[in-house]
Amino acid sequence: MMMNKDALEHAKQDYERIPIPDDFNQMIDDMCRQQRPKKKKGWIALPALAVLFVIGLNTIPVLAESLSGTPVIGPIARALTFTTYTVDEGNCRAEIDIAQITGLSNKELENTINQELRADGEALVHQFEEDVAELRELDGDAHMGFETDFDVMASNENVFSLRVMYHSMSGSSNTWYKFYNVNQKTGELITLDSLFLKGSDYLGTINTYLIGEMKSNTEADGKSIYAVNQEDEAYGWAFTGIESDHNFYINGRGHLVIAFDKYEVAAGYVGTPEFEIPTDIISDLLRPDAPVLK
Amino acid sequence: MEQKKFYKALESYLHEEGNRIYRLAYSYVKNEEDALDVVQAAMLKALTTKNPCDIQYLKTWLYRIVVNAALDFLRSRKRYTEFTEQISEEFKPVSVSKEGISSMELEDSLNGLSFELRTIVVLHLFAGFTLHEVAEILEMNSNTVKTKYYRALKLLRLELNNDDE
Repeated sequence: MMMNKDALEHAKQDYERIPIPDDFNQMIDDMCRQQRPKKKKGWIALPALAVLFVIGLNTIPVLAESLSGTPVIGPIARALTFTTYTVDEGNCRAEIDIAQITGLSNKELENTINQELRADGEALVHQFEEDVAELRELDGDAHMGFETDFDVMASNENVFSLRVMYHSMSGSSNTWYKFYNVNQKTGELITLDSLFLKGSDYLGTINTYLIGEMKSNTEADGKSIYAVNQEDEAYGWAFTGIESDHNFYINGRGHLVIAFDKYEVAAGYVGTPEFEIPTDIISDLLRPDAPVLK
Repeated sequence: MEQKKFYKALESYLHEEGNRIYRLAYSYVKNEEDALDVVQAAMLKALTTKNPCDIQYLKTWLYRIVVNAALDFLRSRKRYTEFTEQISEEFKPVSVSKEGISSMELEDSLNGLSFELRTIVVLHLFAGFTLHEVAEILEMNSNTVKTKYYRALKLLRLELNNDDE
């Protein structure tokens, strides 16, 4: 008379297996970007390029706390907009948000990262100005765009994870990321190596999982949308696995996520795929103090 | 600046929860195209809100929007049972074989429930929310949700041990 418990288990599995459409994450990205609150723009008219430096927030922690509106219990790491460089010259636009991190348990590391973020940002602005000038000589009507933005992927007592996005638009577009993961307990920048026991083949395990997942994401013709098909091998650009310096972050749930840039492992329309590594695959390879949920 | 902070948190959250939101939407409409419609409508609503919620309530606030988007969608396609507990005429008690009810029949039974009961069951048993969180999402009293939940289980002929919850 009563429901078979297996029926419920099957139903739950079916639910978990509902396939996510291919462009889904890209769609979320696009939607978020389109709906972003627009910044106020102003510019000083210069003959060639107009660049406006806008100081966003200053670095006084008190100011940061009062802006949050929520009571701050203990140090909370955040990323604020330190500066926005806006370039608006007809068809060539750039909006470069430079992040600044506050509230890390290790102030020295915080300063180092912030300096790097600033240096990267300034280099991008210079590069963009050069590219525009060059392109203008070839084609006065050229369209070029560049934007950067940042997202905090996790901020809790264990981990602070920041993702900086770089997005260039000229003809086709390209998107790539840089991640900063900080172990708040030890105050160290997290590398993949630092998460796993010495001598363990964590890369092998993770890569087997990644390739398996990629292979199973097939279209109607049975080919995977990722570069793991036979012809990809023939062309020499098949994905064979990540190295220890690959992009990753630890998400708000404490799970390890491997993140790929656009075009890294698939065609452009796939966007920037991410793979969350199931904990049970790596739990006995993780160091006991690794800030990954076991 | 509050707006910007809320916005960043929301964006982060949409990326993290995207897949789970999709599956929830799919469970109502059963196909990819409609599920995407529902998800996009919900995300748009969240991203363009003039009333950001407190960041600590972001999760329940967002899922409330998703559930409402699903309801709107079903209403517009006239494929819904009444929102409240009234059992629709199409709901037929499932005949039971010796082996019990299969998962297909479970799905049929779920479809026969009212939108409200079905939502409570899906949010709790499939999407993994606690009954308390379900109450927050649906803006209902906690005890009311519990009562409706157990009523739904009865209708589904589902008996669960305490350790399954």
